[in-house]
Amino acid sequence: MVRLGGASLVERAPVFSTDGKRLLLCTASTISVYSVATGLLITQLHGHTAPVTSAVVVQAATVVTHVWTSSLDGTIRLWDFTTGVILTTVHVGLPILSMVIPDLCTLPASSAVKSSGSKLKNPVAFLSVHSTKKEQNCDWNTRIICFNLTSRKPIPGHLAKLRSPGNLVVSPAGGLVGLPDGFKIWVWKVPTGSLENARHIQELLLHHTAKLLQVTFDATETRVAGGDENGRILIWENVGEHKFSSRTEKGGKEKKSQIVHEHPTTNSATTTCPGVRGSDDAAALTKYHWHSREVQFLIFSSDGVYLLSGGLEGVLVIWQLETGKCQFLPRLGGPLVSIAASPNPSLYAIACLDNAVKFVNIGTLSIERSIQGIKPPVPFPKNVKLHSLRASIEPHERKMVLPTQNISLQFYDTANDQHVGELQVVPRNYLSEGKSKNRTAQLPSTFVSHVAFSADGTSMATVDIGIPEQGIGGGACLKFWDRPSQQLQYSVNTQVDELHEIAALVFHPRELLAVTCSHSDFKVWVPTGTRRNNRTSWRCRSVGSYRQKPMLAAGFSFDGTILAVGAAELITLWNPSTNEMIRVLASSSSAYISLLAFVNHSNCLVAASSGSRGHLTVWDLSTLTVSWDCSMHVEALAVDPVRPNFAVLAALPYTIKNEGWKSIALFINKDSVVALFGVDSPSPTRYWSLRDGIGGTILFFPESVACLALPSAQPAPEAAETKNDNAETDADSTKSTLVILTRSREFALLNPYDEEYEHKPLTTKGGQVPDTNVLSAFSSMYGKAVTPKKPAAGLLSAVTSKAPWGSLLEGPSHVLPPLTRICIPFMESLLQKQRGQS
Amino acid sequence: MSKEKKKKIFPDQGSHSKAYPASKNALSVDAKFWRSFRNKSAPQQISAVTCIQFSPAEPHDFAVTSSTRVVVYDGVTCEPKKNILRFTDVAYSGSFRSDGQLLAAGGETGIVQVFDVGSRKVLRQLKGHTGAVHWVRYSPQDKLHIASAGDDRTVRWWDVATQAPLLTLEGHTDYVRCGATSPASGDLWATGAYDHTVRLWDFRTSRSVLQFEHGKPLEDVLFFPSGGLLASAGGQEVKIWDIVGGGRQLHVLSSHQKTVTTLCMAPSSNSRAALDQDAPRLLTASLDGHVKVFELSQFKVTHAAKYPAPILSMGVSPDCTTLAVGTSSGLLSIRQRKKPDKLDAGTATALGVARPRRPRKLHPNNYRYFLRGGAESAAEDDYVLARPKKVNLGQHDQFLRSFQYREALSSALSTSDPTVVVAVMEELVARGGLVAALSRRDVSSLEPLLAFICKYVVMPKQARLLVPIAHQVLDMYAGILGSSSSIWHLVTVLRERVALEVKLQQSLQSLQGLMQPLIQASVQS
Repeated sequence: MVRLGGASLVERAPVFSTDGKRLLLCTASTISVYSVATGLLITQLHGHTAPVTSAVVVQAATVVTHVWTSSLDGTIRLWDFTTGVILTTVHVGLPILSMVIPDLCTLPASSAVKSSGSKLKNPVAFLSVHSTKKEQNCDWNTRIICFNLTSRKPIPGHLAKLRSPGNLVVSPAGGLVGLPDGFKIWVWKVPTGSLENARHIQELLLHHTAKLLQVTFDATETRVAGGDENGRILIWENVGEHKFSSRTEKGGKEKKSQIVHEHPTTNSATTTCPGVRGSDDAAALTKYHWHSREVQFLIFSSDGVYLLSGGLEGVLVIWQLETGKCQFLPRLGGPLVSIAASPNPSLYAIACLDNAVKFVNIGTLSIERSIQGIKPPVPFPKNVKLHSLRASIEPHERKMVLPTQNISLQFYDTANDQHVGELQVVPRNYLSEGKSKNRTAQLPSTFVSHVAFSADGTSMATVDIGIPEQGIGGGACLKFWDRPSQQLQYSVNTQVDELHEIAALVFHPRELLAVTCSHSDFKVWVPTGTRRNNRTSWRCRSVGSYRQKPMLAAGFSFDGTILAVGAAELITLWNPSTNEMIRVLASSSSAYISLLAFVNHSNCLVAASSGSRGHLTVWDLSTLTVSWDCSMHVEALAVDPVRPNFAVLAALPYTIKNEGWKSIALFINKDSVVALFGVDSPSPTRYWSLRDGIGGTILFFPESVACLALPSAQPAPEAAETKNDNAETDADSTKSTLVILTRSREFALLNPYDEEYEHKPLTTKGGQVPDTNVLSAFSSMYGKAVTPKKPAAGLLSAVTSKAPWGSLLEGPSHVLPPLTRICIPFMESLLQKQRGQS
Repeated sequence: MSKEKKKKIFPDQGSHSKAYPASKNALSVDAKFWRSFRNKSAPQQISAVTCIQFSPAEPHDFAVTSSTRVVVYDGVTCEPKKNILRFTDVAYSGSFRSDGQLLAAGGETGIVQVFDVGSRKVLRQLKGHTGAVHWVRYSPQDKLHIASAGDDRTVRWWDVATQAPLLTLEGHTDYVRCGATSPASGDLWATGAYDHTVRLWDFRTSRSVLQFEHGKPLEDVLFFPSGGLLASAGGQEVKIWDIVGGGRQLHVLSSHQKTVTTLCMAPSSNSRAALDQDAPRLLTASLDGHVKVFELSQFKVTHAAKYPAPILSMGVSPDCTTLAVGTSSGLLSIRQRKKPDKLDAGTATALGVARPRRPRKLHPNNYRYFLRGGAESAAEDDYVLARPKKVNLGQHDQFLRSFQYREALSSALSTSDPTVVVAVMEELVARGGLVAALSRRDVSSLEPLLAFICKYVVMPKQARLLVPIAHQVLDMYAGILGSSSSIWHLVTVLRERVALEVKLQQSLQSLQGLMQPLIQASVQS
């Protein structure tokens, strides 16, 4: 059983359902449906085999729970998202980059039945597809085509061939479809009648001097807004009144008369169109400039008075179009990437780059709620050599802890795929980086490099590293945190400044004792009480070093009696209580040891080193000899808490010499592999190939607190023996869970000893959403089904038969014997029953 | 998911100050007390300061004898008040009468002169000594007698009014250089001479009643406030004698490297205890330039201070607020601490009946009027709506908020508080703006920066940050360092300090190298 989770929520723009009570997010190859009221996941739609690119909700009075989705797997599917059932699958055959269906945009103004009937006849989708055909000019490999969803056939011809288009946008009324493409914007008019050839669709182009990234239409379909890469917002007025009206003269006559009526003086106006470039068909162009960098989204408010824009600054800007004044909603926590308007005119869903979707109320300018996914990793500067922290596990609550942007730690519930909490290690605001020539200056200057928890979960240690500015300042800062209550709330106990570098940070498995390794020595930290007040603070108890060698890794044996510290290519064993060195282990490998771990319930120590000469060595500490070793680039190492096994995340491909590896090399040609080893043999018992694994990590969930609380009198070798005897029963009793986390923060939860790898969707714990008002398609059409009440006769008879007096009183009252007769047997039956009970 | 909490606007912008770990050896009460003496002034005298005597009367003026003059300094302002220049040769031992009106001084001529401090007139001349008079004291009990001693090996007891010697005590076999009167009895005097002996005289019997052998030429003797003990300074040692026990030697204090020249008791016996604990302290000063403070129960050093030249004289005002130290180079160091607040609340209540205070009517000229109950604390069952407290931002914080990095650094430097400056510098590093803040400074704004670097570059707490900054600054301004004399001076100072520090580090390293084998050997054996 494998559980997957941690997908990005903000790759694509969110979509509200028609009633505005649900929010649909494209999460990789699934669509997640969240409740707007609670922000919790309701359901997930599984079916696509490649990332979903667009979701278009069917806007109809009767059908409120249908959604069309397009995917890179070349299919378009229609779902009922309350039940999660695929209603239709349309095969396009080409990867779809984006899709709009203009016919489904509007709620029909007149009678619902009639318009829905007409709509279902002929929904035409506008698709931006990636053509796989090898053409002469390979750059122009994206086409915009139309697709008839009813007949499941593409309409011949294409609208445009493009190089690197943005997303297709449809106007709110469904009359226009737009697409930003380089320095221009395409605008197509959606035909009203049936469509035979795509060439019949009228088009126009709007030009600009910088690369346009965004386009949007207002409700009247006369205004087009575009955002460019320099942060400018352009608004063209009366777009297409000239061209579309003249072209419709040939096509549809009734449309032309409408437009001419609306703008009777068009011809005189087009001659003087301020700001409009060339022969673009627009009356006027207005420019607004506030954003300093790319505009990431634009949307008109439903009444067309305001324009909402957002960008990498993390500020939502609300423009009043009449005056050009703007209001701001700052501090949204991260760069903004997309927006969705809900049927409620004041509520918008804004997707932030830190994998959060926030519901923003424009009226009150406040964030009502947010859906927080797993946060993206922090880019590390190249010039800083760090073994960057990837993840850790909080032992008490068994939450995954991930370093994220803004020098924070995110606590993430992997079991429920839910954000639990966040802790900022260094108080600092999100600062939008300005445009800078120096690329390194754009990166934040402080990172969390290590986090570790004490075994009981009451203490946490973090290391944050400041990047020096031209050699000035910087340095690491070690912090010890306390958790006074049961909640995940930590407060700083001790802050140790001015440390040089910390390469490793581990806690003792039993006591409150931490070890930090730096480039020449390791330090042992213990909490001590101070004289003045009874507060305990962490102090450096002892320092150890071995020949001034760089110490990059440390590990405790599971009972905490031995501390192993890697000193360059050697391993030194210490007694942590007396700080005495016990032994030095030297192997033939010359690579610096970067990972060290004792294998539980065995006498073995695993040392791993990364890099081109990476090595994995297993030492037998009872004989102090190398039990086995093999050469591989180890990225991460995790030891099973209950079995003498360990898992390794290793990079591939490498020249694999060991015999045991040959078979694997045949199978796997991906970039990394997770292998589960026993201590006895160098051939892995299991392995999993992993895409995008370099930069990821693997973690075993520690034993639960209940297991730890048991007396540890049970000797380890005995436990190992029982395991060998009947491994199957043991596997059932103690499950160990392995978390595999990729670089892009997607994770898989699995039991490494489970034989079958069924993909099982994550349990949705919070899915019981209270909003019962949402009607299914059936119930909305036919009303609520009346479930006939079952007669409760059977139940009644059961009750009577159970009564102590049996069938004494059965029968109509006029046939019953007189009460004086019945009384005695009745009382006797009662008395008998009681005697029987006692 | 819970409703979004409103975040603090600038969580990190409370106020910047760097918290360093607390020093391991916290200051003792004594050290705190003696450190509270601040440098008041350091007037340069013509020649070595041989004697400093405080007036027993308020405001405790003090007479400083140096060369051929006695200068009376004001006890409060520490400014020179009177100059008594009526000496034909070197003057010694200017000391006040018990009311502070008259001043007596000896001299190389052998004449003891009595001056009126107000008019500086010579009132009496006591002639009789055949050698230089190095020690003159008024009798503390009455205003009529003077004791003097000198190089003619005699101690004389004078009646001032008649200018006649009442007693001439002979017994010392060498120069008599010091003496003291017992606080217990006005007739009991002790003198110390270069014949290594301390003699106790009873002026009623006119003979030596007790004699101690110190072993070194005596430089100073001092009675303890009880009058039962006597301290004598000679050579590098200070010896404590029990007079009541018949001249038993109780203790030898040998914590000075050179001859101990002066002894002082603080606070002196007749004043109210000024130290936090009532026990008085013994102060010793020596030619090695150190002043040490001993507590009197275990005779342990509780505080030490270093002066730049050999100390010849020292005085502590009776209320223990002023400490004057005179050195052989003629430097007079005057240190003063704030007078403790008068504890007269008790006396006030003792005087009158305690009136019940009526609640004062609030009026706009009262501060409480504007508080309007804002300082009122909530009752136990009240639900308190906490309003976020307004953070009082310093100027440097405001500049940081508006991204004016150079101004922020300048403003932090103007506080001259290293915790603030270092915190601002670290914040600038985190924002990547330190180099911008250091660059493009003119002479007036570069000067405080350089001065700060000069002062703190060798301090271990700040060195890690400041050394690269110093490099950066020197690289940036290498071309214009010579253009201003003040900048050039600072750069020279910086170079000297760094050179000194490097030398110190080298010597420490050599010491460490020396000790390592010893430690290793001791561990192995």
